[in-house]
Amino acid sequence: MLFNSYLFLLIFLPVTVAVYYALGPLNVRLAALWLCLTSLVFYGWWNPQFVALLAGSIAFNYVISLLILHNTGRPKLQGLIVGLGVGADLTLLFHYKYFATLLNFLTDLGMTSTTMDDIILPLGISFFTFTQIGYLLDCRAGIVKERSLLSYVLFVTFFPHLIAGPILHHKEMMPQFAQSENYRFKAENLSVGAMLFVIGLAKKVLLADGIAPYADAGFAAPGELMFWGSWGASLCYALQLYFDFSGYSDMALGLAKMFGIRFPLNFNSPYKATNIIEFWARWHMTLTRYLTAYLYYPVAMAVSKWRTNRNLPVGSAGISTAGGFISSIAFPTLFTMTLAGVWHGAGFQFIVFGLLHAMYLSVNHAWRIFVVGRKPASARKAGPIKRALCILLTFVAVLVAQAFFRAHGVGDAMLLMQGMIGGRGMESLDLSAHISGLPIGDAWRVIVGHHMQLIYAVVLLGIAWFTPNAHQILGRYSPALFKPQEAPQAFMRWRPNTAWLIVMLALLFLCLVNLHKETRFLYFQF
Amino acid sequence: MESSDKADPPSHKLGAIVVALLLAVGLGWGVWCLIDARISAEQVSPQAWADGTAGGALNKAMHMPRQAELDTWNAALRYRTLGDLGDQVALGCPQWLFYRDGLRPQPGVHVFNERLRLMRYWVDELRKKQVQVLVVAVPDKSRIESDHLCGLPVSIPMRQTLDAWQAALQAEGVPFVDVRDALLAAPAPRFFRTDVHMNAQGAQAAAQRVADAALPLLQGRGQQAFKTEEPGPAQPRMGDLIVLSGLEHARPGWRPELDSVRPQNIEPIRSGGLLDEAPPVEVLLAGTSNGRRSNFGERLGIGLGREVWNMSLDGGQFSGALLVALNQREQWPKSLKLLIWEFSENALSLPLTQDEKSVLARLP
Repeated sequence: MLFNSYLFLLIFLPVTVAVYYALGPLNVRLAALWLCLTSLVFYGWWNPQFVALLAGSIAFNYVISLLILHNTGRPKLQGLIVGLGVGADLTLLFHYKYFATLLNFLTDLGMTSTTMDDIILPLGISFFTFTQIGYLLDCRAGIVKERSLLSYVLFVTFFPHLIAGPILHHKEMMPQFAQSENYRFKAENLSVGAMLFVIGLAKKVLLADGIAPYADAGFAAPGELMFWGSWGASLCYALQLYFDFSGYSDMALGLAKMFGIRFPLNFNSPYKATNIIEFWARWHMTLTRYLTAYLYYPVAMAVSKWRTNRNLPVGSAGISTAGGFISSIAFPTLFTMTLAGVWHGAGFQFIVFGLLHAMYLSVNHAWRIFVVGRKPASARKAGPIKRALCILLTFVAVLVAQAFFRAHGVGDAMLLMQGMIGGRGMESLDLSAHISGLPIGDAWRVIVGHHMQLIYAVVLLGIAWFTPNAHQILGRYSPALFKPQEAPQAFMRWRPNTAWLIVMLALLFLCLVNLHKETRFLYFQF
Repeated sequence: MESSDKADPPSHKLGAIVVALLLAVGLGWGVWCLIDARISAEQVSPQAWADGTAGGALNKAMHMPRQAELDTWNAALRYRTLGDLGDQVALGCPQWLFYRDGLRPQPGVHVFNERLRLMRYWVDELRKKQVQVLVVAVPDKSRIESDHLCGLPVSIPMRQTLDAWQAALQAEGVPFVDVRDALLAAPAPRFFRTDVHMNAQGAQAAAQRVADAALPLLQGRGQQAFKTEEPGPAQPRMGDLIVLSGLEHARPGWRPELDSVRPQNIEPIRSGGLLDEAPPVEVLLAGTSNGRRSNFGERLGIGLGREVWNMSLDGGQFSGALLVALNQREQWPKSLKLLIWEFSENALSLPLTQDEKSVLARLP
């Protein structure tokens, strides 16, 4: 079921909320069970057969987690159990996500003679698999406190995050599910949750879906695009992806808040980032957190141990040498970002996406250590122009990597790059010959109608760059576990008053009017 | 925190009440929509739940109150203020509408070779039946009425597809007709302003060119005469592109002006004998909506001197009508000599239909 569907808004959500708050004061476990059941209905709406897969995955991982916790005193056996559990999870993910592509790739190379059609990817499999792998690893690390089956099932299945995140950590979620006061109705839950949900819905329905056809059209035939067309397609996709996924995340956080649950922040105006390190600290933040904790740090720690054993400098002394930087920062970054690319899908273009970001991050770290770090503190401050240029440079780097993320293959992405550097020439944007002598209304419609892509791109980029994001607007009322700063302008700060209520109702009305063209979220494919 | 907030924390009660009311009203309306939709038991059978179609049927039953009026207002406002006609239609010069599928390919559709395989297979099938085939690809409106694009971009590879298609037909020895020159030479306009189809002038030029190409395959003109009545008084005509833009019910001024058309009746002259028998059918037209508009079939009949068995289908795309005709091949009269297979140029760049995929799956 989609958040942006009438069925969800008119039937599923009202029934789920009403029964939840009716059961909450009577019996907390019953209310939690209700949420689990409704979450399974939500998940099974597309393909009920995959509910069995989800349930099997939860049962398997819960049993593995109990075994890990039961064998706390036997680290070798514990390691074996963790390996078995994580291995089985990754095998399942590999089967659904990569097996067909890999087999067909090997056949293309002549190494096998079998081909197969793509396997239908169960929705959210990457998200619920990663969530549970993280739980198993933390069971072994001894940091799992709340371990009830009901809390665990709810932690994995809770419908606002089940399909496309945020990727939750048990430490911040399971205690919330165990607290009985979270099951009691509070006016703030509905008031704040609905506002955030409507902002997210508007991002998706009015902005992302509005610009999507231009991105789709551009990436359908990148080899035809000239300079402006290539930049337009790339920009439109970047904006579609941001408003689609951050809209989804806002809806997820808003919905969770309606049930008295708080999720971590997942987007914090990433296109305002002045460098690529900051970009990843603002973009899909829970994935970044996950990758850092479970991929980057373990590798960085292993490298550090390896260097210590060889009497090589570690820490800040180590990374300031070329060898130390490569082994302690560039290598773990390359490892992490390549896997991050692969996580997004099967295909060489996703590896290129990961490698590009690994390169960006390494260059950014190197710049910080070897250039900025050697300047006196007073010389490190950047003025507004330099800041703007940094934002622009970061954004362009992101656009280049996203071309690989979106294109049908590396070849298509390279064609887009060729267009972006003017390899196929520059088209004329002059319409004056077509509008001369026309009545003003007709001339306006020709000019605006032929430049809808540009208008969308400018408006959406303006919103992304110059307006506070949903959580800055909600400010102190934001349900996010880590809050960004409040909006600088007072009139952009949400308050529970009539004016903001009217804003919410107007936005909701516009969304509902456009809802019948419902489209899936981009991150459902991952 | 502001000092006023410290003193008296704002209440969320009003917001919560409004949201709760919205949820309750929404639920009531949603339930009413489901009841009103009269969903059949088959649509929500266990099988339908298992394959996910039940969920789709329920969701389809949902809508906003007065959805149609809201959609019309939304579309009219977008047209009037932004010249925006939605995802499927683009505005060229003022009052000229173009179908986007004719301007650029759909994302991710690369099916030219599959369509060639289908063409080879069907042509062989027809030849086995001793029926000749003549392939006609009607050029897109944006190609013929390019003077009215006012700078609207057109995909160059999509433009090249028709040439590639005709080159492939030539290489395979399959007769085809290129009607581009005939249409460009006809008096303008050759297409309706607000529709994807040819108007009377365009249909006449195209039909004549097709007839000229078909006559050698039929060993000359037939004897059937046709009666062409004088065109009637001009009437407004609702173009399909206006409908696709959601502007069918918009007020004048809030949508492009409708085309004005003088309807004309063309029909074969019967012998007037006891049974008023028609000559045996020799030509079958398996086409798209082009074959059903502006008397294209009748005009073709005039050119051939034969009545045409017109099996053209609205929405027939590349092979819809051909497949229907082929499925009935056992009932074809023995007199049938020629099948004219017509489709729009842009059908070559559309995704394969389910029927086409099924045929392809069976091919060696």
